[in-house]
Amino acid sequence: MSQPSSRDTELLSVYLDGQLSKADSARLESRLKTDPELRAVYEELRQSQALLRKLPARRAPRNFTLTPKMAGIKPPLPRAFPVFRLASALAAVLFFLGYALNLSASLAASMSVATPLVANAPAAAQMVAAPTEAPQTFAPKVAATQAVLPAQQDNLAPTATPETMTLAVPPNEAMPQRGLEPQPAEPPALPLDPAWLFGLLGLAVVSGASAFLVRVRTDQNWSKANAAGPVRLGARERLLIALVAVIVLLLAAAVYWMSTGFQLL
Amino acid sequence: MDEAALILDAQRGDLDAFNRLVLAYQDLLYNTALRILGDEALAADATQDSFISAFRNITAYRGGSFKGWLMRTVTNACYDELRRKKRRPSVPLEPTNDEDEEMESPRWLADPSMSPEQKFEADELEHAIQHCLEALPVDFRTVVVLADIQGLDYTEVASAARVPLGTIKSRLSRARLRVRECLQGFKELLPAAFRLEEENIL
Repeated sequence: MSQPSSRDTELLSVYLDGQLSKADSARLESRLKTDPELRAVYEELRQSQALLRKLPARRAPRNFTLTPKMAGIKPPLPRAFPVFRLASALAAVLFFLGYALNLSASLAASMSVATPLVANAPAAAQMVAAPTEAPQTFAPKVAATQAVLPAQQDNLAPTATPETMTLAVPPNEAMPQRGLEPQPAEPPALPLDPAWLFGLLGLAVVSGASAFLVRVRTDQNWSKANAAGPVRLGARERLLIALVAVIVLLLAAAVYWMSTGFQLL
Repeated sequence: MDEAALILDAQRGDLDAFNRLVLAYQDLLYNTALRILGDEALAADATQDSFISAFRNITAYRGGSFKGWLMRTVTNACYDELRRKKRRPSVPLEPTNDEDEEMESPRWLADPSMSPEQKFEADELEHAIQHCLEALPVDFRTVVVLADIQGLDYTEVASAARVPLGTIKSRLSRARLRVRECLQGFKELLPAAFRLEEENIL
């Protein structure tokens, strides 16, 4: 007797499952009658199959029904959501365009202010040099004035005008006030009133917040209706909200800074 | 239960319809996963994953045996679980000899050196059979579970395991022999009709 080949074992297994053709089955059955080894293997296969089928079926330990969240079903978007979102996006785009426009105008204005200063440098240098000559040119005039009007001094003194007061001041102190004293900087004229920028920024924030709130409210209602559990903001969403708030504050500060002509505090 | 109508509704996104199918098939899928994985918690995870996957891909179902199609999803989920398990330190499924080569015969299970605790764990026929199933390579185990435990026909097994029909026949015959040989180590647990004595065979 020889051990059945793997081919014979496979044939026996298929025969056991009733999947062998009639002709092959007949051939195998005749061999089984004469070959005890083949019969033993068949018996092993049959018993193995019978034992495996005896395994008790276990009940599922719980229900495996899916919740909408598990199924990846998202709540429908509220109708107002796209409107608010579009309004927020448009306001944000207009805000940045307006800001860029004002910024470029401010830069152009500062460039045009810087250029004349450089071009008039010699004149400025002369004016700076003037105080050194002033005592010589103005002092006699002042002295003459004081000499011509000595008799009037008693009358003038109580009603001294600023002009006369100025004249009384030493020339080297009076001269720098003539055009060289730094004047308080005037904020440059902006093409778009910063109030508009504030308005656009506000609109973007209000629209965005409205879109967010409408979405959250719809999610909550949908979750309640579908028993999908409460809607809670995750750490990522909270961080995003905080980040947006910081960015909005920075933008508002940037607009304010622009409205003051970029004056340092 | 009108299965075809429920499948159609589920394909249109009706979760309630799909959940009725889940309730109808959850025992079958859980049992399949349990016999392939041999662990209740892993089997529950694989069952849940397979239903999630089935719902998300139900539009890909184009008719035929829905049971077979679900079996494919649970088989895939089991393979995923086994891959995850493999990444963690675990006992190899195939026994190896001193030279680190895979042992051809699973007779090691009946080794007298088996600890009393191990004997105790395997002192019931169900445990013994499960033990022998787990001694099979996973591809063999899947085929034998689908065909002999769940009663799928060859075509359904081939579809679920995604292997050719010829491979199914070959694996099934070898797996059955290995299980029978392994169970000889637990012959005191076997019903009298299943006790194969060497003298009877020869």
